[in-house]
Amino acid sequence: MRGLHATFSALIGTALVAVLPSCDRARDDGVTRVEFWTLDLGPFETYINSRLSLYESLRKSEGAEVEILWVDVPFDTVDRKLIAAAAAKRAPDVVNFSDMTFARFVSLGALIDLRPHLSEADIDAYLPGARSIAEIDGALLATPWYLTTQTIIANTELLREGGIEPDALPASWSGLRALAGPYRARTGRTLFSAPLGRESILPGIMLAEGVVPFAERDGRLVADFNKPEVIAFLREWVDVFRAGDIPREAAAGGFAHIVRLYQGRQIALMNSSPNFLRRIRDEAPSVFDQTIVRPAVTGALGRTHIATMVLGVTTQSDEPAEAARFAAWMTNGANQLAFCKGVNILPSVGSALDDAYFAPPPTPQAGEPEDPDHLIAESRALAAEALRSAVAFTPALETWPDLRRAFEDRFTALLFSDSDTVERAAADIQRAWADILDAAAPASLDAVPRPEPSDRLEHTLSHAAALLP
Amino acid sequence: MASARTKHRSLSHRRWTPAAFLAPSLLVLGVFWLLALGQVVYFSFTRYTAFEGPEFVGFDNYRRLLASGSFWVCLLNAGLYLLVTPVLIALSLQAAIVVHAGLRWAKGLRVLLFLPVVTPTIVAAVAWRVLYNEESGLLNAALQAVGLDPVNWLTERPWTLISAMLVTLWKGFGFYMMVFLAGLIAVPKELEEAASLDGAGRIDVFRHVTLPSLWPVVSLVFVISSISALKVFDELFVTIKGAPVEHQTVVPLVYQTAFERGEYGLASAIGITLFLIILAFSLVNLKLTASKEDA
Repeated sequence: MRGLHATFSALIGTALVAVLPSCDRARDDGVTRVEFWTLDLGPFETYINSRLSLYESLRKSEGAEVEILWVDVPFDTVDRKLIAAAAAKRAPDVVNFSDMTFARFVSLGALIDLRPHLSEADIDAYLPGARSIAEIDGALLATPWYLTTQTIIANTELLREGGIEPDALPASWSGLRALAGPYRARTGRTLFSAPLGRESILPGIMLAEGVVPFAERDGRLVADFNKPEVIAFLREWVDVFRAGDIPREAAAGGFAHIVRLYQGRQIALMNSSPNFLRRIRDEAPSVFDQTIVRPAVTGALGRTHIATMVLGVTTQSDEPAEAARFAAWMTNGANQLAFCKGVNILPSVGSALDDAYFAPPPTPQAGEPEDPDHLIAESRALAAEALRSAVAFTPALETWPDLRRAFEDRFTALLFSDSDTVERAAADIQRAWADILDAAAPASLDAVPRPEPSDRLEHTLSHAAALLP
Repeated sequence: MASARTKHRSLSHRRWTPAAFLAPSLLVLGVFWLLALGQVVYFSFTRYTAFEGPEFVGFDNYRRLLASGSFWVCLLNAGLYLLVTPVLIALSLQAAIVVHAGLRWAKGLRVLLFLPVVTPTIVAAVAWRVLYNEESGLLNAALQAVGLDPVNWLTERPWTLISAMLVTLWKGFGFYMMVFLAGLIAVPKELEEAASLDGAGRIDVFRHVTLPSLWPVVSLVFVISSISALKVFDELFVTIKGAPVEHQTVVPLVYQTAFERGEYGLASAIGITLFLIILAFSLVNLKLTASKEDA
């Protein structure tokens, strides 16, 4: 059977080998070569190269000749290139995956379990919320790398115009929705916006609210979208949208519209990546001057969502032990901290978060010159604080992008049609999801993040209660 | 005695000669078609990915396939793509009649009409993409010039499918024109002359003499062009590159499943299902056209 596999792979490999990056890692000269693919990290060449040299010297001092062959691959082509490389039996040893495509490669059997190669201390160093995406059926299929998360970015002047004190901002989505109507009645403007249809954040928020649109039947994951909790969740958003308390652009405008509206003073706040602060500072300095940052709004579980990058070791690696060692080293606290200091990202290791770099900046004293980066440092500290309880609300399902698309298509149509009903849309999405899950390889409910409520929940609820009439 | 031996040897020669002539073709077919087909049939019953070898899973891939919305949409699109066939036959037959009419510029016209056939599909599709460009393409400029709304040729259903169908028509009709031309040349002149002498007009001669004689060629073109339409790939792959798989037909779905998703087992199941559909379609086609010829 291996013969047949080899024949088929060789045919495909021959056809596709032209697209592969050429890395010669099979020379018999006593040097262990590890091929390492990253996603669009070319601009950070200096950092990556410095780490590779450091790792090679470190291994040399331990008596091992190791060479890391680094290949940076464009984000949108990595899937195809990796499949082609695997077909030619030349898959790289260590690959950088985003949380959106990671599960797909897990389902193809592309990654090895790293547990036998790493110590428990190494594994425990990663934040549980970031690690959870890589832990499937008891195996650790990747090491978490860098993360991004959200904070509230708000315009104090616009908030006050609507009678909202910046220090009394709601900490939950339900609190924010409750304020949207009164705010618009008072100012004629909308309080906030969020991508609801295209690039929808609702599937993630649904999980963050503790509403799980899946169930398990006969050990197999099935869609459970048509249940009252899901319908109630969707109705809350549809009602706010149809009342005009969220801009029309939210239906099809994707993420891009939020920053545009915020910079144009058309919304008073956004729950978004702190990365956007630099853009606001450069493109709309007067808005930046009135901007404050606050902890991100969360769902009923009191946990923020994190987008995670991971490093996995492929099953085709000739050097799995060295590759796993390198992946763990590359993602250790010291290296992630150095990376974060160069780029506006967050680490997935708790020890890195303890560094002073992530501590809240000292409040400027009267008469002191204003630090233009004070707000950015503040947002970094807030995001870092939220990370300890944050979770990647991205199910580890290969079908997740398809499920999201089915949701987005139908939900966008619902938002655009006043005669359409939430029940009808939920029934349609249920059917579409059932088809997608039926057609996919079986998965279990373990793939869906269902964390316990965070301690932050109480804080969230008390905030919301204080604001509601 | 000697004569009996010679006769026996001659009989033996006669028996083996066809086999010897057939052997090379059978060998090539056996290795590159039957063996490959057998392998793909086997793979269709396995879980086989870019990273893992085949592991028998019974009908699991076929079950996934039948539950997949994308497969049914692509199959429906393949069915719609068959609309190319009657248009192709009508256009190429018409062109063959014009070229066969013995006009002074017929030879030049024949070369001109055959040019798209020898143009590589990739080149043709890229050229058509320029025409289809939704912002600056000639087609939308023409539509707007006559007061019509521009069309999203490359991004919106069903225009994406229609765009690829037009490329198939443009590329294919020269070839089928030549096939019809060969058929027209083979129609006995005496029959047409006899019909004319009996007072039949040109349309009657075509309807009652030329077309019935051409019927086997029409059947052949119908079967070949239908199979090509069901198997279409290049035109879709290049013309509407980047469009979701739901805008395409079954072969691009096979490509996507195997080479972009790395699921060889599932891709094999889709391929085998398409093969069975085409086989059934061709058999029904041949049966129908055979009964028409008999009639």
